[in-house]
Amino acid sequence: MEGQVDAVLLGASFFAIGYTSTCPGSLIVEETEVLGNDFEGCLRASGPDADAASDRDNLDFRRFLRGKGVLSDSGCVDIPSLATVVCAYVREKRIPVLLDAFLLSAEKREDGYRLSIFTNDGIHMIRTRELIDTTALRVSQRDNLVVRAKYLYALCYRPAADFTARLRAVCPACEFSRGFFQDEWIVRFPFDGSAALPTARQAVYDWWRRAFPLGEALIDGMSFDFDVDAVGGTRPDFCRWVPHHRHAGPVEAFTDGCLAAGGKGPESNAVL
Amino acid sequence: MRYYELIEGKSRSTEIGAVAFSQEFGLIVSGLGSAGTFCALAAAQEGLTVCGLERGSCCGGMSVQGVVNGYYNGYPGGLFEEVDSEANKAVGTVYRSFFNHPDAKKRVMEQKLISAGVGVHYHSVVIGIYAEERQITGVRVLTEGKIRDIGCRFLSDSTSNGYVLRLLGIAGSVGRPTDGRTQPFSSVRVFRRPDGKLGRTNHDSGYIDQYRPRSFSESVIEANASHAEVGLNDRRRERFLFLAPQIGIREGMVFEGEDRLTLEDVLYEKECARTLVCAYSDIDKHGDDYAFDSALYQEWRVANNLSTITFKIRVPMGAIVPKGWKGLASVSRCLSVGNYVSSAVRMNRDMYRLGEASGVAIAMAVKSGRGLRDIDYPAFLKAVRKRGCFDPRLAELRGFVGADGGFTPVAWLTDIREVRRQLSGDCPGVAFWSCRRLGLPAVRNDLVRMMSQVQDAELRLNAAVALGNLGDDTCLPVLREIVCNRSEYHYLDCRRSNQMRSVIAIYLCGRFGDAEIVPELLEILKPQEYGRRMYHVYTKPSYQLSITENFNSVYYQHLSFAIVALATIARKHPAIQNRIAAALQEAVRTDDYIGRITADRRMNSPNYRIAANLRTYIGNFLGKEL
Repeated sequence: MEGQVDAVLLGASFFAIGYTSTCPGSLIVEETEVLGNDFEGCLRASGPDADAASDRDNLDFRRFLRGKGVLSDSGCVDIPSLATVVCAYVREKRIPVLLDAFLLSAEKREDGYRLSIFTNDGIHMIRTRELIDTTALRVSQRDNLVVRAKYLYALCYRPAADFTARLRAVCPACEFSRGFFQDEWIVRFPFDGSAALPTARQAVYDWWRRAFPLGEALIDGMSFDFDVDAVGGTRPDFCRWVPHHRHAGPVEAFTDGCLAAGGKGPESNAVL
Repeated sequence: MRYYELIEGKSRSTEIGAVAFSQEFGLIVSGLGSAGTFCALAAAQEGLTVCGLERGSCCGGMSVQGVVNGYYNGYPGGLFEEVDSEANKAVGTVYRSFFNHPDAKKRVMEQKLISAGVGVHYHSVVIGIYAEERQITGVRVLTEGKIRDIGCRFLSDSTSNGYVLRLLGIAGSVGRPTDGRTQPFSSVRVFRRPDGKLGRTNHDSGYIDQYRPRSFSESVIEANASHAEVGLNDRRRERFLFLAPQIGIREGMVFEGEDRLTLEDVLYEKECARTLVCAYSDIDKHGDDYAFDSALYQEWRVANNLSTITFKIRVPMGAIVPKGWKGLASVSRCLSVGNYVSSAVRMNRDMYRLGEASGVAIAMAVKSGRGLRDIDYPAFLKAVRKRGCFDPRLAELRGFVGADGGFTPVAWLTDIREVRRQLSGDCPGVAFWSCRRLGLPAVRNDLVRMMSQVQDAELRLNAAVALGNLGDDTCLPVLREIVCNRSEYHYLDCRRSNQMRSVIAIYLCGRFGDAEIVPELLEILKPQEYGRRMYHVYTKPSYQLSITENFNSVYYQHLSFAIVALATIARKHPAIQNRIAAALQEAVRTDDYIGRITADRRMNSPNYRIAANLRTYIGNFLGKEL
């Protein structure tokens, strides 16, 4: 039996969550068990971004974040804590999400798209009027995609005073951002588009050891996966692609999603 | 050649002729979790070409992605100790202090796999399987967004949930026989403590069904959302850092294998002719709703209060081999085992060693062209013993493991004087089970005499429980007395999850089908029962009695066991069936009973679901939806 939804959003990004919170007949299809992978899953740093869009579209979301203490008065978002807060938001809004779900194929038809999705229960077919790909790797059509860069992030707390200089001495291309709390830092390590995760993780480890041989700075945690910056794709008109690098922060991405969904059709229920 | 795939939960196969594989491997491991990683590593070290496929973005499974990084059961020994040792060298120098820091451990595991020549492919999932005459020949995999066909001589389903076996239509059962429920799953959060070290905590999160995608997704989101309710970033306590990107599922399908390891085999310590590996654990079943568990498990956990005795468990070679298939094994906690056994063979360290021993066995099978059960077993034993992964603690057969990890051996009793001594105290569990092993004829007269010792109240009551365990109904008057004088009193055999004596008495009365206890059990169903002081003694969580926040376990256990006992008695006594049925229906007519069990009113919360499941049970008993 084929499921039918108004819109399928590939990737549980903040854009996708914003979109589906506004357009209830849509469904998010996510490969992992993590929501908001585009920021908190990869620990991607975010500067003040909450003022980036109109109050009307994101007021509810901002109130929710503020209520949980993860949005500061200056508009900064506590990226690590979003991991649980975004789940609470999705739960409260009853946003339909399929986790552990991989897109096998997407076929464009006159009336929309026919998708083949692989889940823990095997292959399911879903028909949808609209398809929006919010994955960094453009899973809807990867052919000829050019991955320009990949990044890993490390979160650390109260490192040595000369910490940035010491890391730059061993990895000149790394970048630093202040974390949500005082004395927290997020370090961004860039890699080329062909890098593999084991190699990149080993490189971060080697750089860190060389920079801090006596443990003068410690990694609290690292991104689970690469933050990917990609462009291209064979058929640009196949479906809309909203890679997350378009957005400076999760609230901006969420708001963009709300705006994109504005004026969508009646509710329908995803069937799976 | 046939191609197998799973469409909406149903396996389908088609004859497809010859297939040109893009690559060929000796072994493909689907799922680089705890067992899969070490299976791949050992097989590569033993000379196979190995391809490792993992749907996530790192290897290590629950101990890494799931951040269940500590150990409390399972033997040390084998390759994983090398990994842990190397990973922990970087803790405190590169990574913040945290035992087996997941970032440290995944790096070491990855480097070991790559050094051994294992091809490591993340974001990869097996979507179809090729087989010729039930001999696996290859897989179709979605990897990095591309679909590829890869050949292999052997395939290991190390997904932990039998996802690959399901593609082949290999039948399995899920959950306990009474209601199909599996153990609670867990969601883990990691935080930085004020002392600068990292800590973790897991939320046991109720029932989950990983084979129903929508309900699975809702359960995961619900569990991960629950951490937002605990006061994020209270600076005095913790700085929230991340949630484990993999949810902790404790139980999935079990399948029919060439050998089967049952709960009876474990509890009666059966020897095994061709052991793959020795695990070491208690029957570590989580969840409070054991009123609905199977008879043998209830006898062990409830009536004998021995839930934390750890056993040496001999896992037979054929328990990883799906019946009738060649070139296929399930190397994970998804095994050919009876209900509840998977709870005892899923510990991190045992899974590492099971993976390693399986990798050795698979390498021998592939190189010799034999089936796994037909490999040269003495040569296998020699190899795994040399690696230290087979049975690292030969002398430890059974015992209690303390909170500090200390081991206290347990010897079953044969001397009735020692039985009597232990029945006089508050740790009578070993004496109960020893009586069972000795058999009713050998102990009956002594137990009846002990039950008449009015001057020793503990001995009298515990002797009645011992007789009840053995199915001798002369104990019923004393058991009824325990029920009527019910209290929160509990035994102390175990470091956690001890049983209350009055709950045991309710259970035994139910098992006897005792109609005389019915009026007292009906009292337990009434709202005014909750006014008893015994239900309000514990105001804080208690590990010893398994009391958690927001859940009145003393009340729940009495109520749930009373419900099950009444249903059992009703089946045996048709004359009082209607009266019992009416009382059961009335007990759950409104949600008031749920409010007495838990203050948590969210319908998706684990506590609420467990409480609500009582209504489901009664509905099933009555044959109608309530």
